[in-house]
Amino acid sequence: MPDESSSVLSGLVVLDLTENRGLYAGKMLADLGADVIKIEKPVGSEARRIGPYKDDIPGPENSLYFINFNTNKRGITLNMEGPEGRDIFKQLVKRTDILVEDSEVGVMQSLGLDYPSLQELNPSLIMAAVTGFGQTGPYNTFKAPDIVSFAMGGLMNVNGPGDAAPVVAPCEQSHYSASIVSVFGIMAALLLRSTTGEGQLVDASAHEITATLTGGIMPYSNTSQIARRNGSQFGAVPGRIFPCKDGYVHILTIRPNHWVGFLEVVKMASPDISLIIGEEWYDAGFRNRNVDIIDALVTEFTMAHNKMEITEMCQAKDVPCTPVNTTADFAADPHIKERDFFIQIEHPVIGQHTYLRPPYRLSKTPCSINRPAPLLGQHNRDVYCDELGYSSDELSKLKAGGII
Amino acid sequence: MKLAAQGIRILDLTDAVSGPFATMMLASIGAEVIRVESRRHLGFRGGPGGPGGSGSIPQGPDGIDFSKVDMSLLVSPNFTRYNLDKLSVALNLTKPEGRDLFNKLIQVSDVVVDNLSFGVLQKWGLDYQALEKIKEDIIVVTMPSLGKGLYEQWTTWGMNLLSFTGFAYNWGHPETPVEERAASNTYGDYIAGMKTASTILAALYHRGKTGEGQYIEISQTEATASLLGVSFLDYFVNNRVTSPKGNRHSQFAPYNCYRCKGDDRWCVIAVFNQDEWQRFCSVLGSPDWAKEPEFHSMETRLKNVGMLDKNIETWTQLRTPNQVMKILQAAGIAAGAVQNSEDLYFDLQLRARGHMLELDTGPHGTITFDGPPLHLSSGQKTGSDGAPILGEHNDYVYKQLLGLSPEEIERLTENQVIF
Repeated sequence: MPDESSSVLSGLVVLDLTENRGLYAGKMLADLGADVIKIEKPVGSEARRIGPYKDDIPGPENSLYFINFNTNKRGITLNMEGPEGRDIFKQLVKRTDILVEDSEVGVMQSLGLDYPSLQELNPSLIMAAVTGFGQTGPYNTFKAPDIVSFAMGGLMNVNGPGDAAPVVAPCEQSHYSASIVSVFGIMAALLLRSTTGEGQLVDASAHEITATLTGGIMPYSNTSQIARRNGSQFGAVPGRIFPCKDGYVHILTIRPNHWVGFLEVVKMASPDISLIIGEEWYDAGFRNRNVDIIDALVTEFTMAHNKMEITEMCQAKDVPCTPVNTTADFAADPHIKERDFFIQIEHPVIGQHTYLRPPYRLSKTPCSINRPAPLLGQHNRDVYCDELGYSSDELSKLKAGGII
Repeated sequence: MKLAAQGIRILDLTDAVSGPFATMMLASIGAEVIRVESRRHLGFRGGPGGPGGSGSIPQGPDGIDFSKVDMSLLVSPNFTRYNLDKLSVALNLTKPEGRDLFNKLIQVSDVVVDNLSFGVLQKWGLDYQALEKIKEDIIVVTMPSLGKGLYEQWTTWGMNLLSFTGFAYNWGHPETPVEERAASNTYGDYIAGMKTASTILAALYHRGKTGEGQYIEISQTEATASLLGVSFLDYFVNNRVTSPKGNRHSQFAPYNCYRCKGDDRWCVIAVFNQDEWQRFCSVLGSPDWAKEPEFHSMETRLKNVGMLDKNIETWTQLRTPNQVMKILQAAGIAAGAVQNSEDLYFDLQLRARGHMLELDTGPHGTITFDGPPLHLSSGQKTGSDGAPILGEHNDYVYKQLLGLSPEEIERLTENQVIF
């Protein structure tokens, strides 16, 4: 194992049984320095069968989806459907700090591996269950792929054009949210454990965290108004994405000083635009009622300039404005490059590829990417022989018996 | 019950959404979070638009006289929802004496978090290098929009960063013009907040083991861009620039959002294999269209997905979102209502899990807030004491923590240091 002594969670051992909505939890813990062991079925994780794939050729070592979520983890195979596999799993649990799983409610119990059973083996075990609807409540056994959690959490209804269907966010965001909030729970449990010595079960629900991030309950409770979606429009007008000469910019005038600054920009940059501006234009309510007129004038201004020009002019007057980027634009951005947000790693099948640096920048315990995503069963020997003490012969037998 | 972060004191210099949400999460597990704030800069206390923005503070011809604003009125519901269970101390950091007091507070604190404009703390001599000298193991956390670098001075709100990172570009239907894509939410703010809260706890864990504090920077831009990891890999490995996929899935059909009975009512349905498809058809009453060869296999359904979805919608349009969900889930098929904010308020699942937090907010009456975003079996607060009035805990901070005399407090108040 490479030296990880300088990372913030180094020394912690994590077992990662996740297949989808919990994948990013293990990823975060690995990026923060924990030794995360990804456990897959002998045929490989379901995540290996999700695209996109390198060169669009499906294959267990080609899935960029799998690679995204499992880089920095070690990987072993284990068949937990039989008693022998479960016995090995229990041996692993005894030397583990944290277990993350995302199976349907009741599955771990049916395997005899629910929290009370595992806690008997290891009282300090912290277990995070990342589910669609949580462990309790009337919907707890409902099926919940990302789109269901996102819809039920309310974030879907308020996103999309005003005259079209609601639209789900890219890249399975309810899974990310559920994973991220489960890591908060794990960290809290870890802090508590350092004084009590006891572990606990962390119950994270993709539906519940999405509802929190939608933030719709308080406004409804307060005003009885149902929030509607409206494309990119936010706050006072102008407050949306506008087309410009070479692409798009996102301009906001939420606070009064934003509008004042924006007016200066327009007057300076496009003196030809006829802005007959009365006092009432400084009132956000007036601007919102005249959204079509104002957005048309703003578009006239933006169409005469490039996105970085507009951004720099607005920023000089403290007006919130950025270019609207594609992934390629973002990857080429000089600020992002200057910060080394993209790094190179070497994967045995994919080859050298670019990857995202973890966003947690800690001065004394920096994050690092120590290894590419594991090949199927890549660390079986390390874990089973070197760490659990199985002999090479025993390992071969486990393999032949379909246990690993 | 012992709370997970009991005994941890956090000085909170954040405003808006991401910072306050991060520290509120820490307060929910027992950290003592002290908002260090001043009448000079009311931020979200004056409504989301700030002073003058929402009309909540009367503005005279010479602007706002902050010494006359009634602070008890400045606990708006929108401020409350990001600042539950925190304390508040009035402290004017633009005055040198205010900064002296802040340094004294540092000596008895564990963590400082800010999302002020870039360079403000440095200008005040309160950056990590300075604070570390006052308390060696302090954890100093900054939550900039873009972080140190070329654009460090940019003013942005979270929605801008959805656009900057590529998130907004990819959030829409395939036919949605770029101007109409989804960039009107605070999702990125919350994500940055949650990631920061976890990282602070990790740093506290490390400090517990080694005695070492540190400086942490989490830029909202990078925290948000990480959520598009798969799209970035697709770009770097396959040179593909992704565009919005909408609600459909490239590997499964049906998988979409469908119109239901009622005005702007929708549901989602996802079918992953042949078994589920068979059950789906029989729940729909085995309609004739479903027997056509175009829909027999996943492959053919994907190929004829437009027609497939149109047929399914003839069934969903006769039912409410909740009916679709209940009928299909009972048959073991993934389906859900596209809940609006009213549905969320009445959500049986959220209510059964104790998610709703009903608070008497005084001037605004009783309002329901989002409660715990996840459930710990121990170490988490139940219920809430609400959000603080600005300066509500001045006595606790100045008398109890810093041991100032009443005369000294009076003098500092007169000089607008405690302000």
